[in-house]
Order: sequence, then structure tokens, then C-alpha cells
Amino acid sequence: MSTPAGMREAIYEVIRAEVPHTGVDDDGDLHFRSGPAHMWILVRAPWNDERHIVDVQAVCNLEVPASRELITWIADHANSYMFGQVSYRFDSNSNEVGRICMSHRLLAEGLADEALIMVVRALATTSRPVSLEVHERFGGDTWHPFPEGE
Amino acid sequence: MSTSAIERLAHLLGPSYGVPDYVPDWGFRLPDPWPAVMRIDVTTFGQIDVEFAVIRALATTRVQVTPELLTWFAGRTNAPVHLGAHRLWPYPEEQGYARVLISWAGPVHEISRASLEAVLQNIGQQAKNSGIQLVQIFGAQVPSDY
Repeated sequence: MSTPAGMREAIYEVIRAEVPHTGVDDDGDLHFRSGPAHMWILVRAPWNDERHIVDVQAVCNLEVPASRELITWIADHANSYMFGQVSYRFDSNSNEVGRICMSHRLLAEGLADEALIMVVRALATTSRPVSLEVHERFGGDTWHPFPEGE
Repeated sequence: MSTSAIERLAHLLGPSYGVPDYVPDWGFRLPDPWPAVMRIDVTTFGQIDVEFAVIRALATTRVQVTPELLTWFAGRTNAPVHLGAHRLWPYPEEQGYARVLISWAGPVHEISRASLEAVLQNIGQQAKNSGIQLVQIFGAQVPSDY
């Protein structure tokens, strides 16, 4: 894991061993479905040196109309989980609708496989009730249909 | 919190911060750029035998929770930060008031001194930046204790 490409691929291999269906987008980021949400694994070097960050993201909801009630809900729920902060981000071409995401960043240095998998599982698990509650209370859409029974 | 994790973090932080002030059942209390304290707890989550550090830096104490503050806070949740997340921590004994802190959780078993210091500086700087805004805009109190 000495080079960025090697580090990224090693991290992806850990994820692929746990998640059966994954893809890689045009930016080279690994992604996969998790219930109604879609998850990405980003490996970045924000300090412009050899230290890398693994950014685990789940896009829970899309095109959610902005409202004071939604903003209050975000403030109340942003800190509900030890792994993954809930955030609201306006769409690039709109200041009326946006997406609900969860994200958690880890240092890639010395990152144990079990720890990475645990954080990915934590976000995959918590993104489902977040997607469902936001959808029911504030509308909008989800990346994927809700699985049967949810 | 395991003794080995405490000793390892104390060894890593010693050259930069001196001997950490360890408070039983609380963790380390460290000075940070904002005149507050940072706190490190080490714990395990779930079924795996991997220790995670939970690092918190207090931005402000006792700020009134208003619709304007909630709007500011929601905007901070998607700020382009490297590590950590803004969190509101209400006072249970004083309804309508809260602390604001930056929190990050990650495994630190193999972490180097340089990376641990980078984490602390990153989180502490965010606490300072947000703390200044909260004091100036919302009249929050500068933290003096966790």
C-alpha cells in the first residue's frame, strides 16, 4: 500500500470481499447499492502528502425540498450516529432541492480490514432508516427503490 | 478503555503536548488552538477487537438553540472538512442551550505520531474556526472546560 493507486486498490479489495456487486465510476471511486441508498468509497490525499483518507459515503435521498423543518431535522440528527454524519447538500443547479448524505472519514494509514468493514457496515445499516424517515417526512426520491418490506 | 491504548497514545502525544492529563473514565484532556480542551477516548465498537479513538474538540459552550443557529449548523454539516463532524450537544439541565463540538472516530492502533497530530490539528482548527463564528454571530460562550 505504498503508492496511492496501490492503496486504493487494496482498500477496494477489502470492500469487494464483503460486497458482492460493486462498480468503479469515472473518477475511479468504488460504489455499490445499499438498500435505497448508494454508497461510495473515496480514497483521497487532502494534505498533499503520502497520508490518505478513506471517505465512506452513502447518498440516502435525492431531490429533497428544502424547508425549515428539514433544516431543523438535519441539525437534530447530524450527530445521531458515531459513524456517519447526516448532511444536506443543495443540488448544483438548484437552491430549492438537495440530497441527504451520510459520510465518515478514516485515515488509510494502518487501517485494519475489520475496522474499515465495520464502518462501511455501520453506514450501510444506518443509511436505510435515514432514507426511509426523510422520504416519509420530507419527500423527494431515493437512489434505488426501497426493498420489499421496507 | 484499555491500558495499552492509553499508553500508546500518551507515548505518541508526549513530545508535542507533554504528559497528557489522563482523567479516569474520561480520557485525555489536551489544550487545543481554541481556548478549550480536546478529549480522546479509546473504545471498541461492535464485535470486532479493534480499538477506536473518539476525539472531540469543543467549539463553544452554552449557545442558545435558535432557528438561525440550526440553519448555520445544518450548513456546517456539508462543509468541506477533512476529518470530523460538527455536533450539537444539548444541556439536559438547561433546555434551549447546547454546546457545539467537532467529533471524529477512527482506529488508531497503527497510527503514527505525524498522523495523530494531523488529526488533532485538523479537528482543533475546525473547532477554532466554528467557535469564532458562534461567538461573533450567536453570542456563544468561549469554552473553558469540557
